[in-house]
Amino acid sequence: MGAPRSDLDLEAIGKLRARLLGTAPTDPPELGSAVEYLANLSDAVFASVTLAKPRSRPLIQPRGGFARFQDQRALTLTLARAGADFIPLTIDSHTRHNDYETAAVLLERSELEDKNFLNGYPLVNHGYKLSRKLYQGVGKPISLRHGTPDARLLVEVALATGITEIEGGALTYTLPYTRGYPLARSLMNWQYCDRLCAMLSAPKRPIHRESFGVLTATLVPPVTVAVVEVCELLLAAEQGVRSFAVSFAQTGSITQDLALAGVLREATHDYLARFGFRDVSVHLVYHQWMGAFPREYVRAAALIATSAQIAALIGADKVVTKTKEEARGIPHPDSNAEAVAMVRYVLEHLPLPAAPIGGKEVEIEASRIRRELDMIMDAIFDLPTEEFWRSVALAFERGIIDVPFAPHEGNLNAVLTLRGRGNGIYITDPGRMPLTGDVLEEEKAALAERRKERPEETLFASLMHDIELMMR
Amino acid sequence: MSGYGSNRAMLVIGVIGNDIHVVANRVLEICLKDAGFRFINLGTNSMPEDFADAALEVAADAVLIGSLNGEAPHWCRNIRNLFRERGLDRIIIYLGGNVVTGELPHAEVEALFKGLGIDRVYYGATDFDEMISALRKDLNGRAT
Repeated sequence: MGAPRSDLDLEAIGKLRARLLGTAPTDPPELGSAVEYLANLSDAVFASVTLAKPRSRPLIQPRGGFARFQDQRALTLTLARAGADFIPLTIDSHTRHNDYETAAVLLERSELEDKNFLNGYPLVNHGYKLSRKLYQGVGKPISLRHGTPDARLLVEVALATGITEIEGGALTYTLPYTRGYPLARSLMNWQYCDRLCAMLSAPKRPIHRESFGVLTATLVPPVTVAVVEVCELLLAAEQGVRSFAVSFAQTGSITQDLALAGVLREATHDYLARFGFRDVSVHLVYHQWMGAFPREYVRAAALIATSAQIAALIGADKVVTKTKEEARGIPHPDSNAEAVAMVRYVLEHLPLPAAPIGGKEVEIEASRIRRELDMIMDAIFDLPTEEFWRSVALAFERGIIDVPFAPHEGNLNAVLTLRGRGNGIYITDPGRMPLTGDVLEEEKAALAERRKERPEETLFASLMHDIELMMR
Repeated sequence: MSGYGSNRAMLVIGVIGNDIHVVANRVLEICLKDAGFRFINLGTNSMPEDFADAALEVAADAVLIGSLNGEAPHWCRNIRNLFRERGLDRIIIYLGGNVVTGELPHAEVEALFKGLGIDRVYYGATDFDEMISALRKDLNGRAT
């Protein structure tokens, strides 16, 4: 049994770090650059400190990244003025694949032709010295958003820049983002990233890590999200991470959103306790609709505003926003600021209820998701390996972790899901997920209601309907 | 996996070129499975030669090529030849997806790809149920 261990020897990774830092194409950081800089930053820019404070509404975080420094600086100031609580730094896709040379070429071209040739900010190429200037006078936590299986150098540069929240994880940044990056390598790379975040954490203001439970945002059943989130939390905790957020994307069913939020809150606590991890703060992040987005501005705005309200209902600590430009490409900063203002308006005028919203349907849903989660986690812990990360790799290999619509060639693609009761996502074929008995019957029952409503529909028509739910 | 020694048709599917759009490919996979076809899925980012090699290896009867990024005219420019070179003269080739950039008249797009030796072209939103019926018809026609 490869159980997560709280007693791992967190031996120094100094030698490895020095070698890696030396490969940075611009201003290679020194071993002490990040620690020294972070120590002199105010509490206000630490994501973990912001998240630990009591609050009356979810914190707001947009997305956004541009190739050039001046564009990113302008976006940062625009978003801060609009009322964003967290400022994003979204990284371009070449950097995500460690192709710093192409990123450099396209950055230069962007500067020469005064146009964006990258879909994000090439942080490694800009380097930490310049990038620190992005945040002068901003006074809010910065969040690194990317999608990188080997983010070691990127995270080093981010920490040296003063970024205190690092999104990602071995499963969530490999399976939806790459066709063939070996998961075992990604798991080791993310051990480095997690440990680095732990090492550079001061006791009262740790570096915050956040998972990306959105996965492919395409008919991913709640249990798969829960399994992946619990795994990434335990993997991070093993490396000493003390502030962590699990996340998921709006499912399309408010019942399922409420249920999944409840399961994640309880299960993360239980699993940390089971393996002896103490003092890990866990937070919950809700992503506004991440599936196929409506093109019409009115519909997009309606979806964004409603989803803001759901974020409050489920008691999310943070909501990651979309913009009305979502279906059309990278949003203009003004459109991004408008979305922040819209979400803030909803959250401030319709405050959280004192007690969690629930009811019988939510309880039924949550009970099933939790039983499914425990079945699958038990199967993972029972795999014949010595270490938890190896169990996670093996679980993926065997299809115990099987993410619908993941482009990764190692993904088994044996799980089939459709929308059922209340537009929730339910399992029609569990593939090799070790789910048995009652839970599968309950999944089927939730789907039967839909079949009754649309008896003639072919599988193709059902899938398209369900994937394009918000575009109809 | 092999297409030999079975009466049932064998297919090769995948997304051609530097194209990571995976959703339609997976939907097609699910629908073909549901329809009882035998196939191999090359997945996204598959080169034209990969389709031809795979078709040879599994003795495929038909190849269903997806293209979602508008680059199909480039990637399919020599496609029929690649199969011919491997002795697969009679193989059925379909192409579907957002096969050109911008919006063009359907007839024009169809003519373009039929000229490249592609048997059926599904441009834009496609009903996979219809496509599968056409495929059954073409496979039956080929068998006789």
